[in-house]
Amino acid sequence: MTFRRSRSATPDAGLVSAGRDSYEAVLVEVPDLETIRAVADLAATNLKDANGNILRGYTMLSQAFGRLLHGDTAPPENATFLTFAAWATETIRPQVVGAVGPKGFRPGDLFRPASRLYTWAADGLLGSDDTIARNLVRGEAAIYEEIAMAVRMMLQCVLEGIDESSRRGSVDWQALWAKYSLRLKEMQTTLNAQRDASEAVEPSDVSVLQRATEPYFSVLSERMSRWDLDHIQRKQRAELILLGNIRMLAYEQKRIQPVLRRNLAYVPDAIRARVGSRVTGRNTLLSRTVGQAYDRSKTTIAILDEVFQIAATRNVYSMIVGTEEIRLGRDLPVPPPANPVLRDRQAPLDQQRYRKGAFFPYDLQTLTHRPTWAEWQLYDRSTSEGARTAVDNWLRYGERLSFLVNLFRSRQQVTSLYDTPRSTPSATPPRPAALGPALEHLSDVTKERLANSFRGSS
Amino acid sequence: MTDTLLSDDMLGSLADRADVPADEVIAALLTELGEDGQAPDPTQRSAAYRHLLGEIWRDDENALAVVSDFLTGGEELDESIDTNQVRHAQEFFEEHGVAIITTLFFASLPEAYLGRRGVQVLDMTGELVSNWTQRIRETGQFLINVLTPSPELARTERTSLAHGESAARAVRRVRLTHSAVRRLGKAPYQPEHGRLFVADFVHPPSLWDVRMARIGEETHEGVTSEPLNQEDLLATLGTFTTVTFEALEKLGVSFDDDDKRAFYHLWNVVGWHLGIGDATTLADSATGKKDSWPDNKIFPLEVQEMDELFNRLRRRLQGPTEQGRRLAATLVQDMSYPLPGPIQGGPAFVIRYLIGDHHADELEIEAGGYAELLIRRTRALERLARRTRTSLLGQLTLLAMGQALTRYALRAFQSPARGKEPGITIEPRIASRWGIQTPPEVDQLLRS
Repeated sequence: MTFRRSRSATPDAGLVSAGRDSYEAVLVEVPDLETIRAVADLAATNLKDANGNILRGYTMLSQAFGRLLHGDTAPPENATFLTFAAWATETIRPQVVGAVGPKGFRPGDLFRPASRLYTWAADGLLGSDDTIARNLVRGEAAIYEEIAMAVRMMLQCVLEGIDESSRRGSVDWQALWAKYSLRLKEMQTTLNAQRDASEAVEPSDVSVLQRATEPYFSVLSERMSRWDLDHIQRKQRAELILLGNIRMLAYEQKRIQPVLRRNLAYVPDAIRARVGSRVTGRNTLLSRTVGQAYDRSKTTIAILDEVFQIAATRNVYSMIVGTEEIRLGRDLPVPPPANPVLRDRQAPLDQQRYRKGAFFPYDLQTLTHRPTWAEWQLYDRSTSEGARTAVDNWLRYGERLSFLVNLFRSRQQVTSLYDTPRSTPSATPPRPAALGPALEHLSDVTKERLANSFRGSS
Repeated sequence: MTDTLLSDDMLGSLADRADVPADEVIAALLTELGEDGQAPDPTQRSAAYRHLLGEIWRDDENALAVVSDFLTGGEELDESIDTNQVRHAQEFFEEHGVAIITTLFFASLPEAYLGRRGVQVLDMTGELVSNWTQRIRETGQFLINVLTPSPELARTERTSLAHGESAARAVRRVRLTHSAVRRLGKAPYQPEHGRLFVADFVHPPSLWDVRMARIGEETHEGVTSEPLNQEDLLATLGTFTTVTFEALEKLGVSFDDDDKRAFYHLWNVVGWHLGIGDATTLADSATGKKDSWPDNKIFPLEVQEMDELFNRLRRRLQGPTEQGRRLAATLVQDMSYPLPGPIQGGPAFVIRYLIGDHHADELEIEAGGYAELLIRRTRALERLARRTRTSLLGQLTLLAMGQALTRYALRAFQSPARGKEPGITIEPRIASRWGIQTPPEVDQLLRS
């Protein structure tokens, strides 16, 4: 995917007058509906490839969708949910491809002793067990199927609409929305035909998904998908995209909750299974005594389970977003362009978008769009910029969402989010020669990451 | 309580009843103001709502007669108000004010946010001004107004809840506001873009209908319940009586049956002024209540009756909603941010302790880390609370912790919100007794 200004775009032209030509490549590059649906089957047989396809799918969709929402200019100003989803998929990739586990001493381990201990214990206990990875990939595949299809269908509907409008001279956005809504309804039928009841998509899910995609659609219908917006319109667009991101996030996190529950329970359950089979599984006096003691200590066991969840969240879990590795158990730091120490090394665009020391970019310092403010108030539990965003237990939906919405709002305009995640298989642009214009806007750190990415894939 | 008093079927039918006298006043007011109460355009309806509020809360010689006559009404209840009981309740509030406000903010409000229908109204009015914080402050101010005695009535036979007095007028103002909100809720639902499945349940849907559908509320032949209906109002009354004393017990506050009886009597009077059980509204309903107060079919409710009724209403009405979570999150944020960093988790912890893990989970109140987990799961605080009244340790820990948090929060709430909206006002004498410093700007206002 390359970023270039449309030749046909004029300063007052929007998506409509830009015509279909400048976007014709979009649908060719993003995965089609069949490819998206095939990932679910692949997740049952080949975890590594399924994760790779999801990562590639999110990355390509993110690039295409970003381009659509920002008017075919480089690089898109706001990250969408798909952009963050690509980084989340990148984060879990090492676990899926089996890259975790003891590999000898690394200097970084000195700073993360608890994480090192956990990795050592989990590896020793579970050995080659890939249950957690399987859970993760199957869960993410099911959600990818729903979200990627919803976005792909919006791309298709809008581009078809532009094609028709080039003959009529204007776009009937209401009709486009109705057509898109109908396709969402059909998606429910298509998906449920191949899923069992426990993973079925309910009408209420489709309704939530439709509501989540609506702000993105509003960016298009209100002619804000242009590169020549004034600062007020830029702020409006940023807020609408944030609203879409938060709603998508809430949908995704609700759907993924059972997967998280299974995974966080897996290590304690595995310990219990080992202890159960070795200690209490025999008909000896000692086994019976231990078994009776266990029966009487259900409360203690429940506390220990939760202690494990808290320990894992606080000491082990982290997330890769752009150039940062963010710990989930700590308050969110200010984004790199706002960090006085890192600021000078960031892309000039980022430095323009963030004030030194500020947690949110200029466009999102305040939220003036009422629905965005309402959605933000629903999930934010911080007491000031980034304070009290640390999560105690990743299983708790409310705490998790508070952390994530703050992450989304604070990093929405960081350029490096549109970088290709390092481990994306075949994610280098299809036309490498055309990468030049995009690179001009990237920081040295980002360029270095991309260079590493090319070296890795060659 | 008799077996037939407010059976479950009866409670269900109360959900379809609003408040006839107040709704008539609002209709008359709309006519007088020249506003179209049935305007299909939501923006026009919102503007009319703001206009209505301006008139309802106008407190000068220009107030319209239709409003001021209603506000000074309620004379027929005066004979039934037990002055001693009301004074007893207000003295109890003065003595244990910080603890009672602790329970109101940390238990009553969160319990009210669990009311699946009731919380929609709070959310809707908060959304209208994008300011849920102000919505919370208004509720707090209402409670303080109702429970604070009027110093000028100290040597008379009247109380602040007698007709025409400050508390009675404040309650009746809230009653008119409820009616204005009902009008707003009936505005047509007109999203910018069409929504899937909305058309499937009601034609044409109102804002309220859509909210009811989203929370899965059952309809009777396509008709939803009324906003701020009689059942929901009765449940709200329970959060300020039953829930308050459950929480006071958990905080280890000393009280006896007389205190409780007096407090419930005061809230019965408030309920009457709010229009709960109004005889015109429930004209054709047999509530099973004998010896009720004038023009009313529900009050008075004794302590045991109220507690039993509220526990049934809890089962019928409470549950998790998006709107409840939003208001609870705002409440916790507002209570937390004035506190020093290390104890900012205090409010969430106290709410969780007072309303229990199940309800707190439904509101997604933070559960904290290792220490909070240990204290909650070992039920250490409950054990401590049982000994608080007789143990110095209890007095120094549980009660002190809750009250310290409330004092901090009240100080913050007293400051003007967003630099322009008024903060909570507490009578200086009482504020001083509670150890709450009044900010200079508020103090000056009160003295002038």
